[in-house]
Amino acid sequence: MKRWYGLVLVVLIALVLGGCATKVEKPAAIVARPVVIGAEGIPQPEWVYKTVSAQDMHYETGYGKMSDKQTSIKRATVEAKNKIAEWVSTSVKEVVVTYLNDAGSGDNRQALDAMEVVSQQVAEATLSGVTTEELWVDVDGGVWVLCSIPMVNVERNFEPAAEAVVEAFSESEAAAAANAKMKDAFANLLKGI
Amino acid sequence: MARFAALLLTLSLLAGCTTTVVEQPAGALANLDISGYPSNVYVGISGPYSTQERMVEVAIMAAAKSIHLKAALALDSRLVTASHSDLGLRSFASKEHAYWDDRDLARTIERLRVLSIVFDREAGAVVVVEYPDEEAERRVYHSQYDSDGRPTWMHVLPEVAGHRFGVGTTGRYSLLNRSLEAADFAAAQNLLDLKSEHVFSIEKVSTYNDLMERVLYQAQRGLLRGFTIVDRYYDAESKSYWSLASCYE
Repeated sequence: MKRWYGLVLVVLIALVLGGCATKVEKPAAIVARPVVIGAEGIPQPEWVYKTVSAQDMHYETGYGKMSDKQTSIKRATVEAKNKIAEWVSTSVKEVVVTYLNDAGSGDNRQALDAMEVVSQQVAEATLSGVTTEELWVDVDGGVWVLCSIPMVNVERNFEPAAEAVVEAFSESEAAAAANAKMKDAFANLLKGI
Repeated sequence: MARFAALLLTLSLLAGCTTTVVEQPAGALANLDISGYPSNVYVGISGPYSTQERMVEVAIMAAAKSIHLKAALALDSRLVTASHSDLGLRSFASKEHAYWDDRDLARTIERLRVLSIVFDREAGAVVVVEYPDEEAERRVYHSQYDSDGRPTWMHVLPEVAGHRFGVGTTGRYSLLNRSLEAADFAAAQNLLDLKSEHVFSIEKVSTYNDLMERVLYQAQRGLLRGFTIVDRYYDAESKSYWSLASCYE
């Protein structure tokens, strides 16, 4: 009988301790990305498939596959630079629209005219200091480039557009304040705030 | 005997670790190689002319031009591409220009010290000159060659702190000097593609008969300082000339 008590006691202790045990879950299997080797024996860099971001720089990638490598580089850089231009244009328009809405003048003809002027100026703005940081050639001979532009250069390009808004709002007494506010908004947008 | 075998084994192992360095075949381009000279030594070629005097004169002017290009080379490039949703890329046209200051060319020529003159059937006169007004420094890069005898820069751009590199290539023109000039110009434009001071880009997307058309116009310009042709290569397989150019970062 004592032996039975002993057995029951052992089972109970085992159950109690078992209940205290922490369940160790198997770590989720990490899917290893296959290493892609390019035409020049260089493995595919991460920036080809993953967005690169930094607070002081904006990055875009471009791809080109033409008759030879040099022309492919040209095509790839053209595409990357165009993406940068589009990004700048979209960012500026976003700030201007937000600013105009915030100012409660969305239906105001003068505000809409100002928007038109700014959009035009932004579309015509040049990008300064676009650099090709990295270059990779895939196995088919297609060229990938990673281009960058310093944020400070983009902010500088925004100046003429902001001035245009001030001119468009010449009748408003708050033109200078509006200009400053919009510049701040643009700087914050670039910083992702 | 055992010592000899060990030595042989060590030597064969070490030989396996070395990079094969194959020298470029001698030819017209071999005469243009000034990599053994300091950075204030320049080379100029003339192409064929009726007299040797004329060839030397033109070659000296070409060398002096290199000095002015190094001081400042302004580049601009305009490009238009059009793509259709059903046909893909329909056009990719570019127009490129280079500008340099030739105002003091005569004064520069006066200052040159001629180091050597060689006459070549393809190159005409090849004149190597020294420019004493410039400090003699080590060249920024010396080419390395792969097992096929091709310079490694044809595939991977060199990396040297404070300098940028670009590669240009062109098919053969009737005269060697024209082929080289075209390859050098392409290398300069490659430098501009890789780093543009100013870029203007505008894209128009329209739809016509349910087909989308995308037209992209891009203009860029830049000023290169320290522009130098570091090396040249003729690829017999593709019958093309290659130039490696560098400029200050």
